Amino acid sequence: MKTANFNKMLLALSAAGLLFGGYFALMEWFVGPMFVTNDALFWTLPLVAYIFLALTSTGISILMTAGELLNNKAVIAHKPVLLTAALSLLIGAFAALTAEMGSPLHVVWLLFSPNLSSPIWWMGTLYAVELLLLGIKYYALLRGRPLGSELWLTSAALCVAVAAALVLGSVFGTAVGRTGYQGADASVLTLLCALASGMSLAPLLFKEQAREVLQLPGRSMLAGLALFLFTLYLYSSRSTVVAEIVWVQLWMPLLLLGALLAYKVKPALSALIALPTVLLVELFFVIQGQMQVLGPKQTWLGAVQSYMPNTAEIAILIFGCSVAYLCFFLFNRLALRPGGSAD
Amino acid sequence: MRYGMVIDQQKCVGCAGCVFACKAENHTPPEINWCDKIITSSGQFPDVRFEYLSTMCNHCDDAPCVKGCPTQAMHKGEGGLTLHEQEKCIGCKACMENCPYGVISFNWQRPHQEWQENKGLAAGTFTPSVMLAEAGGEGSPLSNPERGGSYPLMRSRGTVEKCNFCDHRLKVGLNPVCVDACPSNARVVGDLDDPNSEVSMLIRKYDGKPLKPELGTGSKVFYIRRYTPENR
Ligand code: SF4
Ligand code: SF4
Repeated sequence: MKTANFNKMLLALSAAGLLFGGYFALMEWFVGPMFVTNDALFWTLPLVAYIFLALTSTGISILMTAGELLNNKAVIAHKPVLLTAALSLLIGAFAALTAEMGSPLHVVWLLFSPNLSSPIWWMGTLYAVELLLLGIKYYALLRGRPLGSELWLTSAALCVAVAAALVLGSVFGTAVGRTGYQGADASVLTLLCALASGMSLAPLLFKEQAREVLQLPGRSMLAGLALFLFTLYLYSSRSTVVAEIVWVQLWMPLLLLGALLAYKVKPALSALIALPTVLLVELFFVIQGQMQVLGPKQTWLGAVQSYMPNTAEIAILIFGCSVAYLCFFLFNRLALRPGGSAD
Repeated sequence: MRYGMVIDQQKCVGCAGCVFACKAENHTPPEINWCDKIITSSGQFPDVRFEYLSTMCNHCDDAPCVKGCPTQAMHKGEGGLTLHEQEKCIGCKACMENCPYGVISFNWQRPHQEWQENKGLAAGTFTPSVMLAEAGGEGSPLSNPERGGSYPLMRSRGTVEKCNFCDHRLKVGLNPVCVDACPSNARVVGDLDDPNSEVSMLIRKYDGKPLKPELGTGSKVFYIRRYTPENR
């Protein structure tokens, strides 16, 4: 299919996704709960949609800012498209989060009345700062002139992106009562997921002849996540305690290895394998820590729960992705308009 | 002053009087219990074991829910109580993830919305909304204005709620309602900082233990005389 036709199809799909997902988001904001959540299993696919989009944005941000700081010509040449992708993905992530939290205002209130010991506060704030930094960089791009403080801005965006991904993991890693989450490995997981998904998407944003620069970091990140998951699998597969039951399945690292093998010759296929795999890794991780019901809720919900997303939850994932793609399209259009800097 | 509670398992008869008293006092929606129970049965006949453990927020000294809450909605208050400020709650559920005791509930629906219904059971009978209008009350005819003084009687959809040890009653020198409602006097509330308070003496005498002490949360609800083999 010709690129122009493919882009049109993606645009049409995103518009349809916006309507379909938007309906469920509106229902969640104004009418009532649509998700298969309860007092024991309260974080489901809509939160994972946020995590996935935010971490993918982080991965792209890290690639872009690190490339800029290292003066990598190929990355700098693709800065506009990387920047719009990172910005759009983060906006898509926040769109999914507003549905998860039941109101767009709730996301804003998080910034006020801060609690510095709360990983969620740090995560929300760091991602809000990242959004702001990317927004400023995008403004500079539209202006066609770099800002005087571009180096500082780029360094700050890189630091904030890495910190945000690590802090996102700590939201789970610091939960003392849930053995399925506990530990610093939660932060390692989220950072590796960010790098793997960002680097899987990157080749699709690069011109074919410039992709060489991505080969080593891209494949290393996929291998890193695969190795980490495989180690976790081996480490935890002996466990028989419900709360510690392995959430990592063997197919996860294997699929990532498949994506790694296809990375050079078939980057689209590689992304098609890697991105859903990373999404599922994040979903399994988030669900597993809540599978064992705690305290009196056991009396009502049973000791252990299972999970299957419903239409509304899938719709929020589609909503987040559609918002991201539509923003990406729009931002690129603006940046590439005649006289714009990025043409 | 550090409020704590002792629950004597050999006095508790599992009647759930505390659960109902709490519901009435704190105007919790039908699907939410601040004071609740953990029921476990284990073993194989004839060697079976059943345990009814009354449970609620443990008002942990080092409360994981407070640490996790991004907006300080969940916070420590006077007497070491873990309190919740509805207006600041953004419904992120971090407190629910962090509480190892599963005692925080989420308002998935608008609380007490059944009282807004305008359909009667049969033609000509009262509808819930007419009953509410006639009987008065905030949100439902069961609302307790005394509770409303320090915590909104009608909580918002998309926020959490949990036991606050009847802070409004403690303030005026009364016991939490679950303590007064218990027909077998299985519950005692008092100051853990005072070595001569009844709670401190009971904990010392019977080697009272909180739930999950290994987590180091400093939980302040202690259980004594549980039906463990050593207490038979
Ligand atoms: S029992 Fe749970 S809700 Fe209560 S203070 Fe401890 S962590 Fe917080
Ligand atoms: S749900 Fe409310 S009380 Fe709980 S952590 Fe979030 S803001 Fe705090």
